[in-house]
Amino acid sequence: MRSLIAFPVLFLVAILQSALFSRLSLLSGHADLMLILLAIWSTHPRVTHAWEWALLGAMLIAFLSAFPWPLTFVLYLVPTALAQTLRAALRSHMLSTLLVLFAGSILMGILGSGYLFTLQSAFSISDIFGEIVSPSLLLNILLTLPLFILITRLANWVYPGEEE
Amino acid sequence: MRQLFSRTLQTTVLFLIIGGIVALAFGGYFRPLSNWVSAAWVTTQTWISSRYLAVQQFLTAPQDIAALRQRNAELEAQVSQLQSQVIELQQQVADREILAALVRYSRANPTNTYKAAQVIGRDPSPFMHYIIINAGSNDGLRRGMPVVTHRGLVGRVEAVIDNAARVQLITDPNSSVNVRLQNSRTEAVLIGSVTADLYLDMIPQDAQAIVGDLVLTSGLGGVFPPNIPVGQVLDVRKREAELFQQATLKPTVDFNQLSIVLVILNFTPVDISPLIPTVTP
Repeated sequence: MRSLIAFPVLFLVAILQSALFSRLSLLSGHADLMLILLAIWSTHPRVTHAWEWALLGAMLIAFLSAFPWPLTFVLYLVPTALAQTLRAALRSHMLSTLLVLFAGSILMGILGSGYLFTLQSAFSISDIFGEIVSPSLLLNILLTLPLFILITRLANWVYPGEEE
Repeated sequence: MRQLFSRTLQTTVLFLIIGGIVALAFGGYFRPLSNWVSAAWVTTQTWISSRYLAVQQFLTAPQDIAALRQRNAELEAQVSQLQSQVIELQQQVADREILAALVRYSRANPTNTYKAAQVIGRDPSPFMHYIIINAGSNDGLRRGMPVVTHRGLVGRVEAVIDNAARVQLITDPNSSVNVRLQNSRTEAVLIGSVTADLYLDMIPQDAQAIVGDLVLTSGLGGVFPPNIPVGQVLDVRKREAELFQQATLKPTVDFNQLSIVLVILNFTPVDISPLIPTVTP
């Protein structure tokens, strides 16, 4: 029953992303709060509903964004799959989170470039990685540090361990 | 009786003597003595008084500190409350200035019907330059309607729900707007970019594009009304080997500071897609 907390949390994250974090830009990049949340959540050792959270999060962002929805789903589901793999391979939760964020930010650059390519829009890869991907990655990592504790506590509350 | 009379007499004499001494002293006849006495008096009284004040201060000071601290806390709370009021009022003033400018703009263009809307969000993807506004189909908004501010063109409505809409900014990489240079009346195409820079393309080689030229919408294609300011030419790139000149543009609208926009309700975009010839095998 506690896993139903996903709905208010993900709604809040989507609203915060659109209303606040998308406006706080560094060059042309900005932090992706949903990606950070899903990266921390999916790599947490006790979490069992990572896919449900990723699907719901991707759906909310796809609703808000003009970015094509299949790409938005790819953007959030691929890092979730990577997180599931890393969770089993690595013991460090923080390290797994950072690796997922790194991969997610690079994936965002690749998907964005691919989309612009299909639009036949003029762009340069160096612009995309220098002005969007790198600043976004930096902001994601900076934001991960405070959010890590918060989301880990939330995960511990939703999935209480044996000691509790 | 005699004894009683004798005592009364003694007392009276004693009073007269002391009274006489005091009177003489006040008259200045015992000045050295009175000086010594008064100095001793004042010294003693000063010492006692200062010790009393010290003790009183010692006893009452903690209460004063507590009262002062409480008062200080109250004043600090009051100051922070006033500061927040000042910020709120400054925000209201800024909003009113924007609204006043928008009202002036709408009065200057009476042929259009406007709906003011607040910008409540931006596209979560950094590749897409869209804003979300708090007016939707319930307010009469439809897909394709132009969005402006008093400074110039913002974009057009791209998706609508009941009480919100998504607006594609002219800085979006998928946006193109037919424009003309005000001075030379040369037609060109304004395109956005992923870094939100604006470029002018398709400027004929023989056209005079000068830095500082004002760029307006041309109305060609029926997507936007004509004569809405878009920006100023920043620099022009002209190469003999190319078919057209290019230019970069400084937009008249500050897209990072958008807070309130106007949607032009009575402009219906023309769908020219059926007129575009398709290649048939």
